[in-house]
Amino acid sequence: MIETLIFQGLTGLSQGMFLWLISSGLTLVFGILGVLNFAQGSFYMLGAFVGYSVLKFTGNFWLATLFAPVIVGIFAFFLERFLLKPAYKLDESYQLLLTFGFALVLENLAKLIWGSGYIASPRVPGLNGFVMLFNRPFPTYYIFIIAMGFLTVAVLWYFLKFTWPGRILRAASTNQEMAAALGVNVSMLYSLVFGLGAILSALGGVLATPITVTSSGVGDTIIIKAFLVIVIGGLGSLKGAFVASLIVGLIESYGVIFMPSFEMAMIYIIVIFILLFKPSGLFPENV
Amino acid sequence: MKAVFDPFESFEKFLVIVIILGYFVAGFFAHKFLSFILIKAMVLSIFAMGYSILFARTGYLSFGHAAFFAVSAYSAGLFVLHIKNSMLLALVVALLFTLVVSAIIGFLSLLRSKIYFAMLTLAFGMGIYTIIWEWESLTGGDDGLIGINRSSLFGSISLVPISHYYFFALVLLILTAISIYFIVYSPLGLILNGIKENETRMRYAGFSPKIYSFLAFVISGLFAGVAGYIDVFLENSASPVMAHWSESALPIFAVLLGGIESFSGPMVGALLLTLLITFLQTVSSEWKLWYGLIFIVVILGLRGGIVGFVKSKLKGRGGEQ
Repeated sequence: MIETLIFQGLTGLSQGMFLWLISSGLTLVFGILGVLNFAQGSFYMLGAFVGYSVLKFTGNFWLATLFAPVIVGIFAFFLERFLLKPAYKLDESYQLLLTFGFALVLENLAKLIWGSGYIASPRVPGLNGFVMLFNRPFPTYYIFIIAMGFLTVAVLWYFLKFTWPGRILRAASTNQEMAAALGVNVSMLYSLVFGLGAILSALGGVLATPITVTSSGVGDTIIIKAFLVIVIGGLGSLKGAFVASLIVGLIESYGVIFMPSFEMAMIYIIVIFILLFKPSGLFPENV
Repeated sequence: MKAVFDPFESFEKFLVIVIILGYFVAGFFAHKFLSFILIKAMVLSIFAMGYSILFARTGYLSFGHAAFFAVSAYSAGLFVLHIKNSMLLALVVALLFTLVVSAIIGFLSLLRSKIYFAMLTLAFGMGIYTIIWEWESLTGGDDGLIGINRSSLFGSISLVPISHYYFFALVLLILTAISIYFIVYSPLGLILNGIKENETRMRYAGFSPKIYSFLAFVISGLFAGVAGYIDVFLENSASPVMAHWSESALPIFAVLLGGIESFSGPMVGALLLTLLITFLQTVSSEWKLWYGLIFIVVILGLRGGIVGFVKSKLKGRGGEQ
């Protein structure tokens, strides 16, 4: 029994890491640009599909993992430059609608390019095996995902706390006019942050392909969970996004044991509880 | 100054009456396919007019209204399939279910700010989609419900021929237009407008914005229900796609295309959008892609909508804005 609990716990942590990669993107973009990006799920989906194409071209999963996020990030950078920028002078709800429109277009674009079926899960060189935990085989890849999750947390934290661009970012998130007055190119900063958010989500998407079935609808599922994560964690706090991602990942994997096929219902129930009893979320806003 | 909503804009009323008369006359001449398309346009008109009570009057942007459309369609369908083959009772049952579901989702989604509202409506709406998809024994899952046939009203007026059903839908459209008109110009409508213009001031004036926004949410949910009800008997089937988030784009798109600040906008937008979709479907199998691209263009380029554009042209270059 205890082994099962630990096993499900580790599985849940790895699921949580995918949620973290997408909700951190959402949080960063909202923190700096003030835009809730509905297309964050589409970047996740694009990461998976672009990764699939890179893999077909190079035959190497690790190259796919490297290049897919970069390609999606560059795409998002230009998307922000050309289509999102004109919307900053509009009402908040139009920005929301615009990213909703992006999601609509990207999902159908993906269907056009890659078809509406599932893509084959790639094999991961070097991480196909299992490690023995309590005399049971546990997939090495899940452990790698958990490690990757913590690695992105560490890198983001270091970047925001100790590097010059990170400091600029934090400055811009608290007071944009002041940052602009100090000579920060806020317009470029916006594009870069939007791109960075896309890179994080796309990384999640490509890393998920070996262990999940991927179709053009994969962005839907993940963005809904990410929204629920944000409602639990509070919008605008990376710490909240991380903790809430792990919570949701764990609920989901334990839910499979207790309420098979209704694990999503468990997440909704938790969200409703949070809404009713702690409406500001677990970690009220601050970046 | 920002253009204030003008309650007695005669152009708007004129436009609505012209469109309704157009539907009426077309009903006598339209062949089957055209009737089908025009009923689809009426369905979307009702959906969009109801939606505009929430979006245009309070500024709350819901991405989950397709769920209410679907709840109504499924409950009407299940009622006539399993309980009693009565279209009138099915309407009552469908609206009752829609009322309950939209009240619950509306209450929960309004507990936090507008940005959370957008996320929560999407998440709860997709929750309904998942339930419909997973609960196969009741909803038929992926296959949906089929064989939802039209019957007659009061035992004598048969709605089975599409030419008859057309006028039934038209009556519901007219009733919707009248209700929306009275809601928009009622004290409730004015309060809602006030919330959109300046929420803080309304709060100081003693109005609770959340309660009125909740009312607007439920009202818009109910009209989504009316639309879903007409649609399910038009299609003779219900499918989970009805509840999908991409379907929630339809009323938003119709409202924006027609003009958000206008009374006739949703109706104009719904008619144009239905014709546009029909056209795109016949010329391209990737119509949803084009549809999405046009959506983006409308948001970036045509914010007054078509009605706003025409009105500003009529007023000449000297008007506001």
